[in-house]
Amino acid sequence: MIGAITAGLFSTGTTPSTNSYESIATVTVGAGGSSAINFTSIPSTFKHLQIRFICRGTGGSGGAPYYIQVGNGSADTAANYSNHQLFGDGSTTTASANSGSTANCIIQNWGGFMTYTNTDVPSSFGAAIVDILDYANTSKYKTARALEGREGNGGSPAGRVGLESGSWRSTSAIDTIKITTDATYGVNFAQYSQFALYGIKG
Amino acid sequence: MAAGSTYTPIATYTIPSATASYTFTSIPSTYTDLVLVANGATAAASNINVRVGNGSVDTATNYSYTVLNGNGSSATSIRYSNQGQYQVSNEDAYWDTTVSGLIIVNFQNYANTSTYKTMLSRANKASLGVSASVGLWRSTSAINTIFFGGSSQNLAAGTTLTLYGIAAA
Repeated sequence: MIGAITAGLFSTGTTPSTNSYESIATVTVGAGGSSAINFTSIPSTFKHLQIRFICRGTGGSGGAPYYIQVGNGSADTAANYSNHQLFGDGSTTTASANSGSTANCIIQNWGGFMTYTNTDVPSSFGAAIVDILDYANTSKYKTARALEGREGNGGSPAGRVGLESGSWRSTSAIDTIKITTDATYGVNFAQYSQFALYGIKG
Repeated sequence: MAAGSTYTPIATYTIPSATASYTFTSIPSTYTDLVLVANGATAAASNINVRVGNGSVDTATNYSYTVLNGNGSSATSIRYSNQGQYQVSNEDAYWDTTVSGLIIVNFQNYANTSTYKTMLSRANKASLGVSASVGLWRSTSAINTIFFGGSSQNLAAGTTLTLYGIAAA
């Protein structure tokens, strides 16, 4: 979407139209924390979706991942996804992938742990921008991509920046998005985490 | 369900002649995120610095960032802590005179006063490489000032800077 605006701006010298990007819903986590963020009944009237968020985990240390599942009517928890990640942690780069039985999320950075948790770098939140393309199309599988990172000024765990892509092998329109963190370690999303869903018209 | 249009241009500036930097000031706090799109060049090879602040540009060492680079033959990652700037075009995607660079910086939840500010950036330089980075400004102050400048060289005439605001429902 940014690319489209940029192309319009710099190739024609005209101000881009900005009425095609709309806020759909926002969730801000309160003092009690939250185990899951659910966007439901997402209208099919847009071409693409974008989720922009900051988040942090409760409990534990060493960072935490977040997972994004999609679905029609409910989030698909089956192994109908595949995804790839490219991470940098300030000293090394890592590429990973999930498919088959280990892939039950369209965005699945368990190898990256892209946010901080309770005892990690204070006041620092992970951030991400996730695009889900052609989400309402009923003729093809769905594709997503993410730019994400956490940064802690050299604290532990180390800062990390990543790029991800993911696929949901379904031709159903997406009307549900579920974002969770790692309940295995008793981690929920912490206060001030905020998730904003936007729709981009075609 | 949808709350209406957002992604609003706040300000656009074209560098009229070679100059060290440009600063957006008095940025309203009415948006959720800010996006800065920069397309341009520098007088010679130079990284690009971003600084932020509240009321004025913070030049103290309150920034840190982690970068992922690719230059066509290798991928690398590097971190800078306790810096006086967030270098958004670094290592393999710095700017120079020949081919325009493109940088997009996202300032997430820039107006909240409860968290440090996290920034996500992508820098693209077709002749050199690409990078993705995450930056942190260790302040809970709202951002209302953004500085954009070359680290060692002037921004070239014709460089364009556009600041957008995105408002969540």
